[in-house]
Amino acid sequence: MTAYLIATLTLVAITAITGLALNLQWGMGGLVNFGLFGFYMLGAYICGLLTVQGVPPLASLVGAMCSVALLSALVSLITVRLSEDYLAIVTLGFAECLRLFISYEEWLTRGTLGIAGIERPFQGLVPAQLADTALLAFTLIAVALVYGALQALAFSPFGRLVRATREDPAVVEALGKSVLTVRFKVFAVGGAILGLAGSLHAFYYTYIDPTQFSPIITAYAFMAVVIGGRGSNRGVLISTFTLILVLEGSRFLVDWVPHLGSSELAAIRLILVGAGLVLLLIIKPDGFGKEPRSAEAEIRSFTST
Amino acid sequence: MLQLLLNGAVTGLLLSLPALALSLSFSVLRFANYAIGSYLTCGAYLVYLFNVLFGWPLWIAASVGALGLATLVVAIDYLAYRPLRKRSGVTLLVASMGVAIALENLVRLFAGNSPRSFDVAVARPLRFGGLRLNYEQLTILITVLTALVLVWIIFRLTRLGRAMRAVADNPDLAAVRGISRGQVVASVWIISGVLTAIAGVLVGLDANIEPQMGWNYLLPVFTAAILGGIASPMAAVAGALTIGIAEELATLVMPPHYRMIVAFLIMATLLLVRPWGLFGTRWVTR
Amino acid sequence: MSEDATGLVLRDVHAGYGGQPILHGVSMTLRKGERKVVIGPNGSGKSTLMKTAVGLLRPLSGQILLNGQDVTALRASERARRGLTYVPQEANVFRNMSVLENLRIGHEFIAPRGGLAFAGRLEEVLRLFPEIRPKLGTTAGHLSGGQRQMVAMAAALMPDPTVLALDEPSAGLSPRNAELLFEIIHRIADSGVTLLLIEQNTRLGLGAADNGVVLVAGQVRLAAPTADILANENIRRLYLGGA
Repeated sequence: MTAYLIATLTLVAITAITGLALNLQWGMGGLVNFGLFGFYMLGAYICGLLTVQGVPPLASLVGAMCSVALLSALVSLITVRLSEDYLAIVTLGFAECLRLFISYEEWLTRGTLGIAGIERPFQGLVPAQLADTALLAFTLIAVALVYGALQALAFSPFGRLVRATREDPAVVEALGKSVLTVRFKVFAVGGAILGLAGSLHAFYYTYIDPTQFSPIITAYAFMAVVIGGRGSNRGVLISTFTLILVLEGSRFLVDWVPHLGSSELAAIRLILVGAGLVLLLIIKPDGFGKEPRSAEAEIRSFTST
Repeated sequence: MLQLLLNGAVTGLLLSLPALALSLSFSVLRFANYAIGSYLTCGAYLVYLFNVLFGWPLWIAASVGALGLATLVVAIDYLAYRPLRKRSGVTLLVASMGVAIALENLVRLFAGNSPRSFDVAVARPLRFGGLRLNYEQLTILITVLTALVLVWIIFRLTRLGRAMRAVADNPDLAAVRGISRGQVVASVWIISGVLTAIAGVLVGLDANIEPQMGWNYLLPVFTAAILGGIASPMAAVAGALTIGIAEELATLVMPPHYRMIVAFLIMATLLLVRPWGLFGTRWVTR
Repeated sequence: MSEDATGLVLRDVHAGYGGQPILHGVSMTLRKGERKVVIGPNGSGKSTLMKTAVGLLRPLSGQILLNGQDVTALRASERARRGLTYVPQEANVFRNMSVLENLRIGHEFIAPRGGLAFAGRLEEVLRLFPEIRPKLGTTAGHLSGGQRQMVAMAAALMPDPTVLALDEPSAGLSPRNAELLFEIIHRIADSGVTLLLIEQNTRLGLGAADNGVVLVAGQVRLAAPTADILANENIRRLYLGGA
């Protein structure tokens, strides 16, 4: 039972990090990243591959964060001349292609066999029976750090610029700031956070293969942001540690519900996620959390600087 | 080489129906419907239900299934998209992703994950000189061309077609001219539903019926629509043919499982170089 | 004047965007066969008045009657079917469609109410606009500004409306083209249709109408025959920029 709880909490904490990343990109910036799972997957693979090559886990993690940040920012550049609507399909396309690449380039990724034996950070320092607890602690620290960083960012001038870009890109352009630069930076920071989340995923499972990564990761992140309230980091944390916890926890119901197989249960859970997303957008468009300041106040304060 | 072009054209035709449906709904509603892939999957499974479980001949099953999907698509619009229509296009994008996930898993829940196929006789491929055309490809060719001609007739020559083009062109003026937007929107979804269901059947004939089938077509379908200039439905057909042929020709230099990467590369290049589409005219958001 | 002889009536209409009123209690009566022009400075609410009259904007309060029936709750498409057609100021043709298709759309979605069928109406309208006869096959977006205005007016006349509303027809036209367009508006007016006109160019606008309404800050400042308005020095100085 405790093992279940620790496992679920770790997964939920990782989801919280992806939710925070998406909250920066979509919640604050209005940039739809349907390919979130691709960047997450990339983080997991870079981190996993580096550790099995003998790079220390923490160094691998930093490596994964930096490279995902770079790639993510480059992908956002494809839409340099376009509205953010196209970002959705470009990121999704990138993620799907990445999944194909990882599945087939066996010389690099071992394809569908996956990468096993990924070393966790501080593995030598922690007794084996406490390994999962230690990783949970490590993950929660990561959540706290990301939250702190994003809160600081949200209240900084750059945070105001990001929100202003979401509300009215034309005004931002008129004030002499480049919307593209904002988009580029938001994707870089978001990419770094997703790289972190992916690395934690690799550390948690210690084994990764392409089937672990699907658009469902993206859906969970969107769910977290929609419930939490777009733009509210605290809302995202609260929503992941309540609703997503319940959803994730239902994974273990399979042992107690006799007639449902795990695949039926997974399908039901995802039907709820999909339908819930639509329902929430309709009935509770602002979510249950609150953005630090109203959007109009944002534009005004930005205009006055 | 000619064989590759032929195969590419057939693949392109297969893509053209959902690309046309996507672009049609975009032109009238100004939002990109990410659920189009799962509509295709649902269509294929509905037809499978009538064909294999009820034992109806495929063409009857396909007709009933197409109408069934059209009903479903209109219902989804009524329940999910209509309440959000006043919001930003980005909200609708996210909602359509929610619809896509819910639908795909509904299929998984009732039909399971294993691949299935329609109840049709296996026929030998036809040969014309050196060219090989198998029976499924011939079906695709005939069905898609018929469907395209019908859509073209509806589009160019009927009152409904003029109403659809008018709303796509200038919704405010269309309202002033007495055109009911609600009816046009419903017709657009019905046509999209029928086209997507037909595409689902054809994809199922060409390969297998599985819950993931529509998702796998999402990227090439979007690429085709963007190539056509996303808001011009008939140009999406040209876009689809281009993608089909490009994917097929790319197998000369790339392994066939990387077709999707070809589509992505074409899209990325296009968005950088000619964002208003290869065949379409410039469309500006907001 | 009995109610059924009346074309369009606005009674104490308040209207605006996002709950912010721009029109503050506008009333006016447009009798059958009358030609009325609304003039006023920029931002006086002329366009809001037009949008409310034709049904693109729902009034916050007040009543709108068309041919004696209350149409306040009806949308633009429904008002069009009851005989009120409208030519917007901008984007007033379907640019990607041919001129003929524009005219057909002008006709077919607004029930002919026992009038002539399409071919007959087309002939009548083309008699008013001989200029566009050779352009029927052209895509409307490729026409010049003046020609586009003509196509828009022709499309609005196709269903044989009782009231035709024109929103600043001279906007964006050269002075010469505006003059030409107003010659055509005179032609239309002479055909007997009731005309509601909003115009920035007061000289042309007043010249085309029997009666004028001066709208200032969302209120009717003056309603009088156009001859009186033109004769009134004060109004000319205050509202018409000495035109």
